[in-house]
Amino acid sequence: MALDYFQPKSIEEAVQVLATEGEAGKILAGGTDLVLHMQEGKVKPKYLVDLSKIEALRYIEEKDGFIRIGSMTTFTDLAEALILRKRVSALAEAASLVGSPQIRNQGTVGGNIANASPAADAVPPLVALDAKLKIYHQQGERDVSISEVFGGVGKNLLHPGEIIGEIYFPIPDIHSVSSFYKLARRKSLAISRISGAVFLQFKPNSYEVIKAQIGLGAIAPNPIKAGKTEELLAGRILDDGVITEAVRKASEEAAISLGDRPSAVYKKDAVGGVIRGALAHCRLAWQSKMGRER
Amino acid sequence: MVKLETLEMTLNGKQISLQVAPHKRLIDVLREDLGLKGTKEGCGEGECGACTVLLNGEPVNSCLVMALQANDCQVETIEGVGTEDQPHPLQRAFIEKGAVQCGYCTPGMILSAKAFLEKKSNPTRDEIKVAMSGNICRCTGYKKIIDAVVSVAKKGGTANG
Repeated sequence: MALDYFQPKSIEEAVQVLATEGEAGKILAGGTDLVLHMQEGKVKPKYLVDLSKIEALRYIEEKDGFIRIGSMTTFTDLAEALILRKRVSALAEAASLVGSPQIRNQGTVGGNIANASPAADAVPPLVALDAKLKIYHQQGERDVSISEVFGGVGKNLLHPGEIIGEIYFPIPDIHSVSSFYKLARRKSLAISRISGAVFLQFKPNSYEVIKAQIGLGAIAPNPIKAGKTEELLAGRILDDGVITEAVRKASEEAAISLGDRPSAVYKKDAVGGVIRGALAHCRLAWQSKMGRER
Repeated sequence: MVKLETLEMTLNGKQISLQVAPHKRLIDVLREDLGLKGTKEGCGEGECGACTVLLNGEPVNSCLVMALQANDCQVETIEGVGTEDQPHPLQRAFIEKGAVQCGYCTPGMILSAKAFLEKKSNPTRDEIKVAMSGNICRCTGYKKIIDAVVSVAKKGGTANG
């Protein structure tokens, strides 16, 4: 199996190699999906561009009201980042639940997005937050909303020669909490059956929801925003009745995306549980936060 | 840009350089090219952790790492942990607690535990379980393995064990 292996030290070198070598290659980020696909013969690249030595792609920073994350940032990096645990806890939580410690040490957020699994765990929080991607190419760069990069199960819409460089989103308002709920067959080494990321911004000192942002994974070919459930929650007081309404709305929304897959009957119900769990957790987190600030 | 074919890494404390076929995974190079059979291929898909090695101090599944990704890195395998005459505290504890049956998962378990204890002092039992959650055992039922790790953690970890 002839394979050419490139290990660029910079983004410029990386896009240059891709432009020069043509379309028969693959980008190697963490490798937790790609190396397996290669072993199974599912992909047979002529060359690999290993991004692991490009330190400039591995960072998490808060700048001008945005969180910016380099595409080679690992799940472990995300799970341990204080700024994320404090202000974007659903993303840190999601990252901490991916696979296993070994997988988390290797797997990257950029790879998670590019691999485009329906169950990619870092994606629902990013979709919920309307995250954007900065994509690099030899000719320059472009910015797209994260949803625009997905083209179905395991398919991304990146053009040949493109590398995801950065993921960024506005940092949630200080009067916000978030929650990530992973429904899976095991506590570890498990692929999500359904995942939900909920971000709620509250009116200070109340349970009135100013804004709800919800991302759902593994109920559609790629993770999606639960727009109708978000609308339902906006302006409402988050009591048990409203939570039950939101649970029903989420089930309705999910039913449309679930289509005919065999798990649709189960998932249509189960998504309600995921949303219920995430909303209840958010309410508790907000209660705690208000308690601390008094 | 030049194609890479030479792997330079610090393996169990020793700087080495070798030509590798670029399609090989780290586990292939360790077992086949270097004859280090302590690292086991339990599943080949990153689901069992038997192939765990430390890459720059962090546990990874060597069945999912391309060999050349380890270029300019520090790699630690089970062969670098303790000796027959002077076992590492974790190895001693595994034997004392009966945490080894078939032994297939053991190298991976030891390395995951070692890396964790070197980073975290006074871990709780639950924290240890999470740290080891990427290593599967089919024999012991896990309790004795966790007991072994707890016993080493209690004695003050593995600094220079």
